[in-house]
Amino acid sequence: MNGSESLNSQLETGNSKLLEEHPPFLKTWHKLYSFVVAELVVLIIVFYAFMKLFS
Amino acid sequence: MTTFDWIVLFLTLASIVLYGIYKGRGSKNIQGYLLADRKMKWYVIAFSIMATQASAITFTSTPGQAFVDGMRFVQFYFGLPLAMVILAVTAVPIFHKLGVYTAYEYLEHRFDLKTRVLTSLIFLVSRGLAVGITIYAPSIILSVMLGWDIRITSTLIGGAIIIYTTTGGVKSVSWTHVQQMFIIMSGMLIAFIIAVSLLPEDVSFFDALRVAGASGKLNAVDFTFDLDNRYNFWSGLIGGMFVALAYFGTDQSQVQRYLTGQSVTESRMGLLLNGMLKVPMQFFILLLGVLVFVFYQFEKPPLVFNPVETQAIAASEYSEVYRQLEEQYDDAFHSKQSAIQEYLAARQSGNEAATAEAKQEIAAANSISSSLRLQAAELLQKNGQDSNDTNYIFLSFVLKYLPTGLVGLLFACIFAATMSSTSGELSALASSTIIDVYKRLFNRTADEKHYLVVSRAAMALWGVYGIAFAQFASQLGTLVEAVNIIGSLFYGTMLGVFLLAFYFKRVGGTATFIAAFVGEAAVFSCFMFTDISWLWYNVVGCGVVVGGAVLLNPFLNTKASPEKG
Repeated sequence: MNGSESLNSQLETGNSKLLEEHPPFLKTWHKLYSFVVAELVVLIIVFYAFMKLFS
Repeated sequence: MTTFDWIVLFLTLASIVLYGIYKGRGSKNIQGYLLADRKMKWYVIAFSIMATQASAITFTSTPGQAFVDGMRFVQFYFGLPLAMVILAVTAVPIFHKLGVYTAYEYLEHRFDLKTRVLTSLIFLVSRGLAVGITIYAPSIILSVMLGWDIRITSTLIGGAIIIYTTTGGVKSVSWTHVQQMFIIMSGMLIAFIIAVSLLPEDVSFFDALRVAGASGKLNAVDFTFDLDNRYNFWSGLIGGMFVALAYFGTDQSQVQRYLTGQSVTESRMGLLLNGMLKVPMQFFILLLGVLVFVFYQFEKPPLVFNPVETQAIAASEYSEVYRQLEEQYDDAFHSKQSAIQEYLAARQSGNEAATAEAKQEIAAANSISSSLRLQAAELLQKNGQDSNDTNYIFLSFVLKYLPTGLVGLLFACIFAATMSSTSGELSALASSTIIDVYKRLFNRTADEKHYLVVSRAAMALWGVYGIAFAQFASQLGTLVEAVNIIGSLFYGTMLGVFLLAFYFKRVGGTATFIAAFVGEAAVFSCFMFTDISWLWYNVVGCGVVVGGAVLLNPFLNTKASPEKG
């Protein structure tokens, strides 16, 4: 087994365990990642509106 | 500063050192010392990540930057949340499952020894330079503001950090980061409230924002695409994302923070919380700077905020020219003040024509003020003095207008911020020195006790080096700024190496190693022969390393090396 195969095997074992892990909020990682991106979008919109409102 | 301020400052600093020693007790091996036994919770990781990133300059320079340049700097952070998500998906599970101590250790698993050593050396050189600057930059500011010798400020800061980092290792570093972030954010929040309360009675918070808007300081989002414009939406989103990917994914001073996580979940949550808090935090600090700007629309500001440079120019052959500039600055201030009063009155009465006219007058008066500040800076430069006073704007406001006790607290914030970023850097430098260099190349068979002793020694030595660098850095002059830019010259290459490791399974170590040198050549060419903003260097370096390695790989006929760490 060469280096990358050994590494892949180690990571695959790890990934299967990973599927069992859940975030403490929002139940799935996909939902949490979407939440972080959505927060960024909202912040940019708020900053833009803030700038326009007071300028 | 009053006696009470000194007491607040001393007690705050002493509490950080004592808390660090208390929290770090009981490390018996290098896993405990360098990775806090991998037992950290996500909120500790998040605050530790934020505290490592936020140096004293973040809290002294950022409000000053908003004063001068408005809020556009916040766009630099737009790519950061995206980078946090990408790293949470990719890097965190890999690092955790392999149980590595450093990010570079993974590169030996994936590629070969030479790639690991190359990237760890790049880190040690660039971060080694940065640690001196991290101590030096606030030391020089505090020296000017407090009238202390720079040797005292840098030794005081560095010495305190060495005590608790050497004693307790990463456990001390992480827990004191939480405490330091609490102190810093409390101080900034209080300064914000005081800045609002210091506005004239007839000027509300919203009036202040309108004045800031009319003065062009609320420029938080600019969608114009311009490669030469350092901060706009696109450079922040794309360039900023690459900077964040490189910094949080390949720089051991950040990777070490989330390697301390008890599980993948804890580490991921730490990164994601950082992604959620960082942008609003920077917005808040910039808004504080804008409020300081508005405050100085009603209270006459000095032409130059650095008191030492003001005294020096007043005693030089240019004193008469400087005095004339000050007089013109006073006139511009008074015209601006009346234009602002007219603007607020016109707004209140709903007179749109008068509002627009007053707004134009404010813009014109601001333009004159900025031009006079520029002329003063040129005069300082002509006299061989430091012409950039951005770092002194906020501290000058703190010293002059904040009540007793809070001045001490705000200065404690600056010290705490220096300690937080420096301690994170020291622990990362020590871990890479011991794990990637000493243990891997020179002594692979010693016992845990030996590695613990040399880890402590490495931590202390990097600390002493940081203090020594800070004391000699004053002789480097403008080179200090150059050193900061040099740091950004390496991130793109390091990111390219890690992207190849994560996503290009067929690319081997030799192709990556050669492409890393080609990538560096490309970045240095951009630096030397073009005017593009340094935020794009990371994109260029990363792109050339990935593209170069993919193209080279078939000719070298190498796959991932069987070398093991």
